[in-house]
Amino acid sequence: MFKAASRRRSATRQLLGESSITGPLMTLIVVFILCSVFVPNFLSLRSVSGIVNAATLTSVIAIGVGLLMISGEFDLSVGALVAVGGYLYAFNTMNGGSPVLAVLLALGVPAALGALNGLILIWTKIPSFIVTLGTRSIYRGALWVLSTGALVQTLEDLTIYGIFNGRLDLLNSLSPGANFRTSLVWLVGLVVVFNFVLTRTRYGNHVFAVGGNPGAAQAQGANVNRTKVLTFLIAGALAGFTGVILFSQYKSVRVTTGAGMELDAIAAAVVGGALLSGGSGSIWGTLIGGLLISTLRTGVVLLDLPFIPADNFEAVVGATIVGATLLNEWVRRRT
Amino acid sequence: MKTYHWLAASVTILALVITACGGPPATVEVTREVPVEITKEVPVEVTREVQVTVEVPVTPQPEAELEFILVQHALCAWDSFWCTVEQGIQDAAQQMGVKVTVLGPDAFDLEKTAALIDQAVAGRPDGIALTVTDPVLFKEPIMRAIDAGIPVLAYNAGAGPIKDGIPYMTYLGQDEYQGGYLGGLRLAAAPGAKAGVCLNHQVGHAGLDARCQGFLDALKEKGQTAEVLAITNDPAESQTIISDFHTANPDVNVFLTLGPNGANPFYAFLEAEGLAPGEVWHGTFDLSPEIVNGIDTGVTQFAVDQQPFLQGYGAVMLLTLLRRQGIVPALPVTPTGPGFVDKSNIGIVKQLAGQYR
Repeated sequence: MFKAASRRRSATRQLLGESSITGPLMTLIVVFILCSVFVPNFLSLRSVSGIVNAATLTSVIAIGVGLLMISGEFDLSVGALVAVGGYLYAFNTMNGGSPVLAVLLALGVPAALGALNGLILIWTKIPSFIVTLGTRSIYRGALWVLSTGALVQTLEDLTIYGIFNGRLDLLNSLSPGANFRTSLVWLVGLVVVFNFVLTRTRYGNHVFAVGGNPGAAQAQGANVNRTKVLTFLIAGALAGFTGVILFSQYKSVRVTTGAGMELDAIAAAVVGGALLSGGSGSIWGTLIGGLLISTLRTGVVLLDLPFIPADNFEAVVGATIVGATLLNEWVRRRT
Repeated sequence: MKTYHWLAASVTILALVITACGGPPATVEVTREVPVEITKEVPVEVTREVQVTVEVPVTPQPEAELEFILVQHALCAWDSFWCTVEQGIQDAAQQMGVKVTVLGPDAFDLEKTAALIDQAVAGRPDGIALTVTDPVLFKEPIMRAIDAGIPVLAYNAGAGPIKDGIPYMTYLGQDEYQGGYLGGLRLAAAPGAKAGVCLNHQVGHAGLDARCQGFLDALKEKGQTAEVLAITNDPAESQTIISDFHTANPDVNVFLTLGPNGANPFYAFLEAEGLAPGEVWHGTFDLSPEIVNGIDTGVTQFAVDQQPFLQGYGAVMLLTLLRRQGIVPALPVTPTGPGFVDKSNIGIVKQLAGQYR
């Protein structure tokens, strides 16, 4: 009897421990339950839809950034690429432009610029953190010159905007005040697709291998350079897509759009279980990380605590990012 | 028995200590007011050496060919707000028959801007106008200009020679605090206005913080409460923050945004909540197509306009009048704003937007 119980326990431990999303998922569930109990007005579709919306833009970028982190690289230029994608999409949809061309450009150009990051990395062998620290300024600077610094805004209500980030009335009809948007559908779709790519394809296998041990990966036949450039390309495309979603709802893009999003994306990926050193992480974990940060932010604002003034709650969010990461480490070591 | 006495004594003392320290109060008064610690005055040592009077050239020269250099912390090339300022500068230069050169850095870089001030001094112009974006950093180069006998005035950014502690002629621009204060008075007077919030998308930016402080003070004067809510550069995050704040504070129906960056997620919030004009009252700073539309449709009561054209035009004009006719600006602060764009003048503004407004 003793032996059977211990076998059962280790099997459960094995199941939980193998998945790197255990820590983040547990944290998200616990935080959600605590907020539901202690925070007034938290448990409503209106708040939940708000949490999801606030996390959407960052989470889409974070899919690409998380993928890169698993492969052992960083891309700090994704924020600038959001603005590039946003501008290209804006210019080509406004005033009767072609939506198809708009989307192709908004995805293609940032993808190419992302791939350029990867190529620079391979040619110069400078760490990607430094390369993309430079390219983020170059890309944003080029955007400034090409756009002459103008704020681009439209009041048009086009169908394409509704497709990428319109009201999701299918869900909104469930509850008054709910504000789900079609960007949620795109986000979930992307997470499912890229999770499949990461866990079930040879490319995904290579991403893990290259991040864990590039030398061994190369020896086993993985093309390290090609894998990295492809991953940078994907991250760029996703950043461009974020610009598309952003402009589709807010109908506004300026040169500084997306500034800082690269760090938010890294935070989401890390809270979701990705290791800064590479070789570990997951797409679902990245989404969970983004949702966790957003849940905490909403919880703090709704709680309306007198000693956390409404102009300073970001400090709480920051503290919890550190806390969640420590917790992930602890869970990882325990299992 | 002795042990028992010590124990009883210890417990009694412990109980007394705990009672003395006090437990949580029975009721907690939570007001919506948050004391924001931003002083109106810039904490600068004002000594007798700061003179507001300017050395006027002994002989005004009505026919003089004049050359001025203007130094800005931003340029039209990468910030479209400045295109209107530079339009003013060029129009004034043309109409007054003077030569102007505009210097500015390639990106927001105060050190570089300070270096450009020295470059301007080296050019030995008949006058220098500049943005006093950082009175501490710019003090030395400006003093070098003044010591070299070049008249200096500030435009767009600054707080006046007394508050900045630098003896330039005058500051030509908007008083940020006044903009928030007068805007706050307008909103507080709206029918049904109960409590307000200032949506600050860049807490720590001295100008924006001053706008919020003015707004807070105005509402407090009218017996309403107000606080500052920090939003971010991410419009989706900001929209949710505003929405959550509204859920937690349903009596807040007065909103002030500090620019197009703050107004954008706010309009998205209004649309998502289905709030109509009259249910909430909104005022903002600066203009954008969305904001102009908001004023037109009655969603937004006003936009505070610092009249950038006048800043550029006025800078060149004042320097010209000084050199040619010996006319000196009367006050340390020559306001160009806050000007209010609302339903009464939105028609004119729409026509001139981008060039003159």
